[in-house]
Amino acid sequence: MSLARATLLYEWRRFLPGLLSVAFAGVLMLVQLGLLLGMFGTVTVLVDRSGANLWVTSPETESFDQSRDIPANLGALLRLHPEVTRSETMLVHDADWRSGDGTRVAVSLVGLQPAADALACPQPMRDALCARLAEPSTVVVDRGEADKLHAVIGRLAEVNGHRVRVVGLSKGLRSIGNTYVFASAQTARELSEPSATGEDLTTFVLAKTRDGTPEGARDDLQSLLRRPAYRVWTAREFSMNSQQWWLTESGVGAGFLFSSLLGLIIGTVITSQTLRGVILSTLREYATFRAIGVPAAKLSAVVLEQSLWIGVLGAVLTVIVSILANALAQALYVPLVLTWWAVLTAVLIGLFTAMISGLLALRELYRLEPAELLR
Amino acid sequence: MNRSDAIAPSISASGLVHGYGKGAARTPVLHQLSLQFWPGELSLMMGASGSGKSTLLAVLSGLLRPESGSVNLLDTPIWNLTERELERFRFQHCGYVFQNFNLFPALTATEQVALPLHFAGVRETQARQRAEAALDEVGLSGRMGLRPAQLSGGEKQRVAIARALIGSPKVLFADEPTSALDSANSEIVIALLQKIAKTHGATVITVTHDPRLTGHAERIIRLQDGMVIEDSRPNGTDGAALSLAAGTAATGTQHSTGNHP
Ligand SMILES: Nc1ncnc2c1ncn2[C@@H]1O[C@H](COP(=O)(O)OP(=O)(O)OP(=O)(O)O)[C@@H](O)[C@H]1O
Ligand SMILES: [Mg+2]
Repeated sequence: MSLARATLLYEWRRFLPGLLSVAFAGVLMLVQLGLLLGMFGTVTVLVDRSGANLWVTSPETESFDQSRDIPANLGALLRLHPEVTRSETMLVHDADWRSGDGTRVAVSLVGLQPAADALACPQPMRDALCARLAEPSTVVVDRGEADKLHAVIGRLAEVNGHRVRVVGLSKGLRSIGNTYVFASAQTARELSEPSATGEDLTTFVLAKTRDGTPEGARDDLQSLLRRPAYRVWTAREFSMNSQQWWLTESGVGAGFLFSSLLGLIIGTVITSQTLRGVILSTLREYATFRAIGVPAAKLSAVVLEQSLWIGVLGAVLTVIVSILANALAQALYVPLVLTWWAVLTAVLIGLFTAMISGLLALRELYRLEPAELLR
Repeated sequence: MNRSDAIAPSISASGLVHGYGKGAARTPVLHQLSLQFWPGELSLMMGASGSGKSTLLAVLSGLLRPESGSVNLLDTPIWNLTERELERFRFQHCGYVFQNFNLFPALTATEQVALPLHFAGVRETQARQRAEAALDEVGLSGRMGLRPAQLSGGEKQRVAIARALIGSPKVLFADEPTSALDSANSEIVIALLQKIAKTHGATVITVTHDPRLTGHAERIIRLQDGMVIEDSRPNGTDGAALSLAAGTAATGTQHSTGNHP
């Protein structure tokens, strides 16, 4: 028998608001973070889905969507490194899309090697679509963007005023920032506005190392390319940095922090009020035990055990609801990313919230004057 | 006073002064009050509302520090103890019964009674056994699994008494333990408290309004405006008191002002 558990079970209705608010704060945090990660994850979809593990960008680049053009012949330099087995280029330029019926959309034209095993070829396009781009003046767009672009397989459209033909629809290559139109490097160069200098430029230079640990090669190449000139990333780094940049610099991250914090504060207030209410309703009983000489600390342990239970049950509820929300998001094609570390963090924060609430509610116990039972 | 040469009092208070409020707003409640109590006796403390009974009980039982005066409880000057020492002292020696029973709604009778042992670190099975014995002693063997919502007022107060008994206290303080009960239940409860005084050799001090309870007390103390106006022994020939007092207590009333027959 434990007083804490007996009371929780017997008066569970009293504890429910606290439990629900802990769970709610957790779910709010997880779903928001999941949506953010899902959204920002799409920014780097071409990095994450490519076969390259080294990326070279212009020096000021912090995020995938920011890189400026760099010389294409850097690839030759990369290949000099013994670890590097292959290198390629990827061109990403802003362009103007005009569908057959006149719909105009600002797009990002992506130029890559038209081969199934190309490093730049995103994984969902490997089985067929990349190779199909070898035919001049053909493009592939994502299924998810087809409606917006009025793109239909086999139909004609215009990119920067040049005629192209849609030869396929990819799947899962949508991004929040950009609408990608994939073409071969050759086609993309022809469709792009020509460079002023006539130098052979590209947006990214990609490479693949012999084994899965590109860090050594990155360090070597970085010192070779001296940082103000170019920046060498591992694919993982580049992806993380891009997402982090969106999270911190776009203001969306701050919004997330703010609303999560608000959720936590509200959760803490409601939970501590709940616990306080329970304490107040049994204040005479607690005072009786103070009179008997039970130290306030031992009575506090009862309240803290209750807080812990609220935290644990709230966390369990958080996890269950988040899993359901995740399933719902999948069904509705909402990009929601639920990672184990986010869930773990939410659970720990939930426990922490509950314990803080318990500590706040303890004031009532320490204020008790058992002499007031005698009146 | 006349008993003190025979057997040492378990509670001895002298020069108690207490009041509420400060300065001009101060309401004096206890005026230089001195009293002694002996083990094995139930003393009833009576008096008009506001006469200071509860205040006196709180001071005697180590719950309220008097402005001045001293209380020796079991030869310990309790108001010289630190807060922490006093807590431990109460835990070891004092039991309390209150008007409102103060039982946790979530616990069964057995759990209520075992709870003080639980806080003392006694093992679960042993605590349960002792709780059941205590409930048996207050005549509730058949009610052990019930929660307060399922118990009558009289039963609740008996559970509270069992809870007060569980630590085998030397002194038991009760403030209006019967005022929420009907007369039959009041009778049961007061008789129980008196029996406890006898069988446990405990000092029991009970504050009450109820004149019907006087028949169950060894001693009656009346307060008026914070002063003892009567200190009597209605059943002067009470066996326990007699034997404890070695004959000197049999004279009965002292300080009697004759306000009450
Ligand atoms: N905490 C307090 N603050 C201020 N005044 C108090 C406080 N407690 C008691 N008093 C006052 O002290 C006086 C004595 O109170 P006490 O509770 O001791 O009386 P009592 O004899 O127990 O009365 P009753 O029979 O009504 O319970 C009363 O006038 C009361 O108003
Ligand atoms: Mg009173």
